Amino acid sequence: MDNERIYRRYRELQDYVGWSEDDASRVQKAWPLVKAHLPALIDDFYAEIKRHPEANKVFADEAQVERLKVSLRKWVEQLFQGPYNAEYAIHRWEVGRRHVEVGLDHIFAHAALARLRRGLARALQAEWPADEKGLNEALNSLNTLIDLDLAKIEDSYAAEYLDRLQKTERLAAIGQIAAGVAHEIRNPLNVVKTSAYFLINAKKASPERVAEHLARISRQVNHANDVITALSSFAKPPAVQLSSVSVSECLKGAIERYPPPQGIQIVSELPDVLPKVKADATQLGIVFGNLIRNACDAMPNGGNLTIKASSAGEWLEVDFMDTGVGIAPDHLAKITEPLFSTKARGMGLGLAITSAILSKISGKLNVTSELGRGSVFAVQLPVAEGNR
Amino acid sequence: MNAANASGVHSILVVDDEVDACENLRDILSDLGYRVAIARSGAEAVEQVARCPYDIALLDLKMPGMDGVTVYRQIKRLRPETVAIVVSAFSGSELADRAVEEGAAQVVAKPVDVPQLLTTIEASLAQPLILVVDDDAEFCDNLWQILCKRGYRVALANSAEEARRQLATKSFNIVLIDLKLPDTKEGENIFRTVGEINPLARRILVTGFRDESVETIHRLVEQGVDAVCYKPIDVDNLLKTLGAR
Repeated sequence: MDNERIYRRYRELQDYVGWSEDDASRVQKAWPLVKAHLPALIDDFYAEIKRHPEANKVFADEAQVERLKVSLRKWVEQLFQGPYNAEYAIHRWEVGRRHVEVGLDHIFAHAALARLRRGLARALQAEWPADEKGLNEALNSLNTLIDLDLAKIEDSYAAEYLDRLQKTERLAAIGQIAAGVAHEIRNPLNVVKTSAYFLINAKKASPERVAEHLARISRQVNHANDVITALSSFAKPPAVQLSSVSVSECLKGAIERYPPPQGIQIVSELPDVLPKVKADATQLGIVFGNLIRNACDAMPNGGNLTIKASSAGEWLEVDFMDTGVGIAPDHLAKITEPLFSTKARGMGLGLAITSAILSKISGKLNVTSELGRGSVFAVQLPVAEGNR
Repeated sequence: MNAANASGVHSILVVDDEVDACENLRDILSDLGYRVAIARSGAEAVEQVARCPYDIALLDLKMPGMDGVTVYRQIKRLRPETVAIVVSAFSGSELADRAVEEGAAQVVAKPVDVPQLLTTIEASLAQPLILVVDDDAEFCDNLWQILCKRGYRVALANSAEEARRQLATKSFNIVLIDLKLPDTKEGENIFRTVGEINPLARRILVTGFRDESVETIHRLVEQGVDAVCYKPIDVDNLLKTLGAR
């Protein structure tokens, strides 16, 4: 968070609690009264922390504690004297940040401040001239100010913590991508390399054999390229171009691109007349292709893929029903997450791409599944205007 | 002296779900004179090993259905003398480590460095092939673990019948025979069978009965027994005996 924003948020908080110039001057007037108590309060503050192993472990040595005592003194001086400006807010922010850095659990920030608050109140009560109303007002102002400080420390603590979490998650995602890419690229490279070896070293290689190996190299280079394309189109999806699209034609194209392997029948149950949908033809083709491929993958021992379409009002629904292995209930929520996969092949991007495309063309994906029985992927698409 | 199957040609089973990868290794290895078969899945590989023995199985790790480690475990149960060489796109992975723990000879990274793979194959085939004939399954298993780590290929036979079957299909460098199988006669018979079918194999007797079998042992030593080991086996001693030529 930049400094300007830090201060703006502090001002918002001040407004929220109704912090005024009167508050500021009341706190400032109390300063000469508590000043003499300060060394004892600071000693008590660190003595208490030392009693708690969880909090104490963040201190490296005595010298560090001495340095911290100096900064606590500065902090209290600034608390009483102000001015409560940008510099003040940023200083509070830095305290929270520092706590995350040294690994101090933030409950200790609360506890330590509460102890200091009580100490300051006791000092003020002891030194205050006989004017109870004035004392209460001063205490109220001081408490409000400390609450604002605490809010600021909390704010920075949360921001810093989130920042670190995101960094960790980013690294984890890179690791996952690296593992997926490693597998998907090294396998085609393996074929290319071994074919090259054969072509260079084979003692007896017929012209047909040579042609076969060259075709293999070309095919596997294409495969490796497809992997890169899928990855980059997921990272930066192409823009959608909406038009009126025929679902039947789109399906036909997808089935031609991904012909079912042996043992799998595709049963098409499409009505003769279907309204056109508002979609991007190419990207809808990718959606259908992914769903057909997934259904086939789910039926390693063969089965039926039934593709059914129906329309009602503004929506057209295409169902892909397979008789495959099904999806475990605890996997169901994760299947559209990028890089989630239970398969030996592939990076786990298919359904992530599918659901990203669908949300861009205002479509929906509903998945129901039963382990051992099969799954239904229901795609809902908006019917094109003038076709309802 | 390499042990080969009866025909003298070494056999290799290539297991990978990627058909092109299988075909390439088949082309390369058959060009070099190996007998090569292909399996496109773990289940297919196990089936093929059950049907006939292979000297080496080249195993892909990440395959749909059954992973390479599981495949090796099942192959080991059928024919523990099969050498497993793992070929994987994740050579440093946990799964690869597990394959080595299970007794795989080597992990080769994809894309495969063929000359390195050929060296590994040749080195594996140069490992002495031992047949352990003993009806004590746990003893066999322990011996397998110890000898596998020391660079031996170990086949197991838990009966005289099984031993005869194995002797007919492979030439062994060493045969370890438990003399009581279940009676001394059977052990003696196996001892003679080895001499007939595999005359070059060293024959080592293992026995738990020192006193009762003294006579038999003397007789067999006269007929060419190489060494006698007494149960409980002193492993260091056994390794020394096996290593001595």
